[in-house]
Amino acid sequence: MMNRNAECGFPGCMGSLDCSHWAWHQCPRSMAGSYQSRKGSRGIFVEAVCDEDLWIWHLFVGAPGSLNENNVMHQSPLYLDETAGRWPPRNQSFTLNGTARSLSYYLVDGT
Amino acid sequence: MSPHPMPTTEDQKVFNRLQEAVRKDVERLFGVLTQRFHIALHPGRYRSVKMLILTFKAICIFHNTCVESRRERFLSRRRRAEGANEGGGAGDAEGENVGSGSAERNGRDDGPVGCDSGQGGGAGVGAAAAAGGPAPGGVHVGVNAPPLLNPVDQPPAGGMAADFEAWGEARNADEHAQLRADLTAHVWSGRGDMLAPYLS
Repeated sequence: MMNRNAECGFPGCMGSLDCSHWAWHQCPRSMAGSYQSRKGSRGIFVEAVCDEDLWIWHLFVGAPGSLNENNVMHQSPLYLDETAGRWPPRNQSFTLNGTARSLSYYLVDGT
Repeated sequence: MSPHPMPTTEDQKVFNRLQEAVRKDVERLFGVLTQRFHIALHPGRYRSVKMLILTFKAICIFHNTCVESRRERFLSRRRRAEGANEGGGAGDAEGENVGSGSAERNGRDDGPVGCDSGQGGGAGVGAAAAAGGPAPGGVHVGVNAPPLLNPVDQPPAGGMAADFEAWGEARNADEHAQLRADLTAHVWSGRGDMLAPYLS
């Protein structure tokens, strides 16, 4: 996958990350406050990392719908591993614009 | 890696354009997932967050199984193989990739399985979803216990200093800006001319 991403112009990229909202029909009234999304419906957030084959490399379900994508990402185990240094592996080094790097990254959107 | 928030120059626009093009895969994922399994399209009809998490986990595992069995018939793979047969200037690099396709596929088949068993302390499907989200209130603590930053029985291997260093490295804004600038230059030098007509 890293090879293919390098072909696409992003060496060192480990895939793309995004969040989606899944509505919850029978949300209990007691949890409606925290699970209410910005669109008014109640539901949970789904965060996924996948490659161009749509192979899901990482999935994080269950964050309440009231969070925004940043907050969802900040509590996902993937992010915690990144910041704790357990992930990603450092054996993949790539050269960009004359600088050698070893810390891989994910593509995210602007929010 | 996020796109440039306010692209002004031509190379930044080109970079944003290419980043969107590569990032669309994950947006496509949610569309494909909901079309393939309509249970994800309709609002979840369960009583607890636990069931929602379990359902989505199952959907994603099924989805990965589908991907694995159909990967040979994907259009992108076919195109890539055709490009390799033509053997053009750009096809060389791609052909190399196809040639090592079986080895790569084997590696990929191993990879996600290792991921599922909790490689990296929870980067896989099962472990990540089992870690769950936050627990507002103590209603469903068993399911949604907050992920522990540093569990007591698993202190950071290199001590707290290494932990803070890793945090600083992953959260370094300067590094991020530099990486983005380098990527922009890389994209601009590699395929700026190719992408320029697509800019609106």
